[in-house]
Amino acid sequence: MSIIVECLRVSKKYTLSPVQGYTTLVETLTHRWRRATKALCGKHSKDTSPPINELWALKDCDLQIMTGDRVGLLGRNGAGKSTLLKLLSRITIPTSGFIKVHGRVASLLEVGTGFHLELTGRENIFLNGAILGMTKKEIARKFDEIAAFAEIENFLDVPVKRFSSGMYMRLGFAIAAHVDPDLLIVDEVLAVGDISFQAKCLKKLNHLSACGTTILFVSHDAGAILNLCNKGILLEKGAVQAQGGVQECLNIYMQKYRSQNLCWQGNDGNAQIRFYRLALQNNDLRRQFFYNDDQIQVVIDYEILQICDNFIIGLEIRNLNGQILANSHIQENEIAFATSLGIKQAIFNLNGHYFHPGEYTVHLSCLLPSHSSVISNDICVKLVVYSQTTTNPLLPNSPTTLSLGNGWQSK
Amino acid sequence: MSKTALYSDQQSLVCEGWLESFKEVFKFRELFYFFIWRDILVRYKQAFFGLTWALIRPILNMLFFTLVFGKIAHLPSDHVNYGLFVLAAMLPWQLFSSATVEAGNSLVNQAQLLSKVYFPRLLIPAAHIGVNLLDFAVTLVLFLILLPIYANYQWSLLATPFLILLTLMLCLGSGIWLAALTVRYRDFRIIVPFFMQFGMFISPVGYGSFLISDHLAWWYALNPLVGIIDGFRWAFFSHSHPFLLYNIIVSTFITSLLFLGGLFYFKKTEKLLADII
Repeated sequence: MSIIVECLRVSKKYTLSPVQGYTTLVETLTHRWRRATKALCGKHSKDTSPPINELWALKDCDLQIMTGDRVGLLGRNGAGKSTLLKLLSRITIPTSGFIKVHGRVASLLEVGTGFHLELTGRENIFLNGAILGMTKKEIARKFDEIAAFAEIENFLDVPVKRFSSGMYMRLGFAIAAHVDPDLLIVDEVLAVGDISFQAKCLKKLNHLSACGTTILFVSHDAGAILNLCNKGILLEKGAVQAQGGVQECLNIYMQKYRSQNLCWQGNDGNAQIRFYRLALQNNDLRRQFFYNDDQIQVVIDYEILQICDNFIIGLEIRNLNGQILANSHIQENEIAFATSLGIKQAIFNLNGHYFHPGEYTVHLSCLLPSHSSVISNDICVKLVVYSQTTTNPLLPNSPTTLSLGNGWQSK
Repeated sequence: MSKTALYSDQQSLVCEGWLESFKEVFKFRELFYFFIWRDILVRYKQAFFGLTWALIRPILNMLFFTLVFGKIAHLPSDHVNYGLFVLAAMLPWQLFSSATVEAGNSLVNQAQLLSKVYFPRLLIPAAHIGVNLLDFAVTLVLFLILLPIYANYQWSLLATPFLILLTLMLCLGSGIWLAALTVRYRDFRIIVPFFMQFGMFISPVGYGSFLISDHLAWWYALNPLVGIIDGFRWAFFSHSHPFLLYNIIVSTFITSLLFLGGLFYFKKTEKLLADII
């Protein structure tokens, strides 16, 4: 395996002063004139321009990408992801540092870049293909494949301005996916398009990767990244925070930015029972996102201050709309959860199979027989479930709330 | 096929070889044809008269100038039909003015594309000149059909390819200058059309340059279009005047300067294009 992308101490500075950027001739000329007159008058105040706002979009960034990797680029807004992609696709140059890219790069920073609205689908396939670096011969050879992938065979001679936004998007992705580059850069384009086309895109990217294309993928959708990538790069404030396996990078990312949700820690309850922590874990590793074949353990740290057997500790699982999907309760007289004083831990085993990929919240509840709550705050953690296998796009997008997993056997 | 794209800090980028730049432009030549093809397609899409516009515009101009300068002002045209006399100048003028204005605006108009995909930026203004070359060719054919009705074909006609080349160089030179300047200063979007109107009268389009008095003619030639238009008229009608050779030499010199300077300035701006556009 060889290195396909290498960055050494790459920095990129943007100047936010009015001198650079969108200027008028008059501004520049008066600026120069003022500086010249100041110099002539012997005033040595060097800086007459307004204080320059500098923004380091990237600062001393070191990274390497090996051939054949599928790298997920993570980071919050403003972490420098887009700048890095622009540098790698040569749209702009670094302020300092060194970038080496071996081979042909195709970047899909935006779907349908370079489409001309007046031109037909057919004409745009040729034009956009050429812009992305294909030769005319190549495009002609792959033409039918592209049209079929985009599902626009019947609209080839219609101007693109009459396309629906879905068709437009599909065509844009289809062309870029057929460039056959050595490095394919994809920036959050999968966020648009319907579910089945998203699945199709992911499948195509997986296929490209299997054929040896290195993929650099940016998305806020951690699920898409987990599905597609095997490596991860985490950017924060223009610097590389972590680089390595996608799972570790996602872990760090989640811990850093969603810590308020990763685990609840506090002190809540009444004079008899206090709750200190609610967390999700898998094999003693605290996590927030799980594959749907993982075992999810819900861990509750609590303390019994006074023995009392009439409260009910329970868990509720809700979807993002707040709808309660399932719950489970410990009745204190059942098991030895509250028979002695002191700090205790309760663990509930949850099976990942029961979840469709998506986001859920796990809520802690503790009720008195009168149904009044012992805890005063909403204690919850976020649970994110991903599909281990790519879902068959032919399956209907299931409207069911819970999944039965794959329990089929043949006899 | 493996190539290595390697770039480092700005300092070394400015020194990056010209040879590589030209090689790259050559490598992307297919995209260049595609841009020309696109602009030709787009130009006459949803236009009822289509390519006929390439003929209508110069003919209308010709009629207007013939009326004003030939019929009303009674300016001399060296015994050539005044319409043809004007059309001969209209050929390079139309190419120059349209190509320069369009090339000048091209980068800013394509800002969206430039900030998303990489290719040699020179292709964009250059393609606009290619498109106008088509209009030029259409008018040229019309002219060559009309010519024998009023005059004879001359041997000097063989100089036309050289003159066309010189005009193209001038268009590209001023086009890339303006394209790069417009990226930095939008003022040029307003200045340029104004100067083009002006330029039509300080160039010998509607009249012959032999009307310029001798002491002014030395300076008059500094407008590179003077030499080019004189050249075209000489090629078509074999009409010479004392300043003809001087005009053509000065024009070639200024055009080359403009062209080389334009390449330098464009290359400099190209690096920062995506950041300042």
